[in-house]
Amino acid sequence: MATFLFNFWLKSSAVFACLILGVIGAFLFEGAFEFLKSGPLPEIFTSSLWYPSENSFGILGMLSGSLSVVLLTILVSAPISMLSALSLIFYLPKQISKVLEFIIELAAGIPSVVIGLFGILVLVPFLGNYFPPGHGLFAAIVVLSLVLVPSLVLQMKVILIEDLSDLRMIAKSLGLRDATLISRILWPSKKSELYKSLGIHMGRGFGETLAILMVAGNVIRVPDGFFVPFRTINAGIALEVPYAQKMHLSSLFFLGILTLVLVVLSRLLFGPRIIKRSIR
Amino acid sequence: MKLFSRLIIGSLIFLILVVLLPIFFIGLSEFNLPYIIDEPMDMGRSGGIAPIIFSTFTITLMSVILTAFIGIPLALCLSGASRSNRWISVSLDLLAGVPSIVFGLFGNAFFCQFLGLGYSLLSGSLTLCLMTLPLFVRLTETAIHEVPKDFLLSARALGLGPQTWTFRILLPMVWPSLTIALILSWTRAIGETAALLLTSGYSMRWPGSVFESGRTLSVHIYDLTMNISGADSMAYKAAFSLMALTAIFISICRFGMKEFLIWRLKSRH
Repeated sequence: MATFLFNFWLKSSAVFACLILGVIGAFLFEGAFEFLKSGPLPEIFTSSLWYPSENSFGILGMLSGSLSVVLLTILVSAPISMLSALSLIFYLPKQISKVLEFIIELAAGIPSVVIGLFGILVLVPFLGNYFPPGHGLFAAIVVLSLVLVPSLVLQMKVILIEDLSDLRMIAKSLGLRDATLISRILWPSKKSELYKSLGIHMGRGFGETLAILMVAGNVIRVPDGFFVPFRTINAGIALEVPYAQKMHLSSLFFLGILTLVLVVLSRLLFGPRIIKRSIR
Repeated sequence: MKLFSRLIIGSLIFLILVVLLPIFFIGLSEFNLPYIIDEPMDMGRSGGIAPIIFSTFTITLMSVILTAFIGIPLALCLSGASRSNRWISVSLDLLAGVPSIVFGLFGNAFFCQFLGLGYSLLSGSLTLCLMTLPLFVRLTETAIHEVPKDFLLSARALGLGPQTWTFRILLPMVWPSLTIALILSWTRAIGETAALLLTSGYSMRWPGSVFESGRTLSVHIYDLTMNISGADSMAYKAAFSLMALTAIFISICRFGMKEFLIWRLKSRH
């Protein structure tokens, strides 16, 4: 009897783990079905008029908002975190780098809503003095970088420091400088892993909701400047689900599927393909 | 190159401190006992956060217990050689990539509406359980992998059954790492906002049962800053209490566990 129960426990949780993704997908599609059935697909990507009560679901504004925030943030935070990881390993005295690493670990543990709080209570009023209203793409990029960069630095440091002491000794005995070691040996050998961690963080950026929502200003439009209010896909979902009805709710489920697709794409983009290329 | 990278990391640290220090100082300067034991008044503009702390703990603890209940057998499956291994692994990897707002949508559709739980603590904690599962399983799996293979062989040679091996030998051995895994999943759960917004709702009363709505600290911070004007210092205080809770648990996990391990080893031999 005890053996049976134990086996049942193991098997049922294994089945649960395999099924849960299917259940999540099925419920998302079931929710979005009504919206997809009405056949709006090609048009909604070209219009940014989002008036759900009048059956106009143009998602271009929110989609371009999400894409521009995440892509610009990755563009900014990739070199920053790479250089920070390098200076933690190579360019700083050991004691100082230990202290700095502790601070970065602390920052990686800050919940994103707290960074959003900093964004709306400190950053947006500060920016508003010079570029009113202060809400917008720039604030969102800073906040999202603060969410992503600490854990990116830690991850990149872990990737770079693996087997480093041997490599360093060999490089020293060959008379190579640190710069040569980094650009000729470390970068080519660790490139694919670094890109992969970048892809994971890009996925996290697409999944981030409230920190961006709090500073973005939530006006549905294509962001055509750094200081104009805009809205991301996730912000749209979080703000409208509590009161949405029928078709409107169904369109929000479609937005959820879109977010999921973006996350998966960003992981695939930096994932297996680049590894293959580097082997060639 | 050297100077430039130093400059970059210096500005990064500066920015992090700019985020952390105001929360620390403003939060700490107005922090007092009544804040913890009072109920919120005037939509959270004054009063305390007692019911919110209570619902935070209810949601996160329920989700962590559920995570352990489902996650431990999954880690056992993954560490043993069984055929369903790869499926579980792939499924968990994909689950780890699903963003929290999508979990919120799913929880809203499945737990709140399909199962009829409504906006409640229970549906919130079930949703959180799915979110923390991949992290917990990965951590537990690495812990189980570190147990020497000889032990399993000796246990087999002694004729111990799988559940005796699991409950009497394996789990007691990985107990410290298991606790760390639990605490890390707990900190992941307590920082979560978007999923809970759509599953456990906004209510700030004392929840009467697990089927009633309640907000966690992070949802409280979001609500105070976005929906309620003139509650900035309260938001700082709530953020400070959230960070303090997280910091206490992480420091227990980092510094306390070593002492605990040593104490246990001493008491054994």
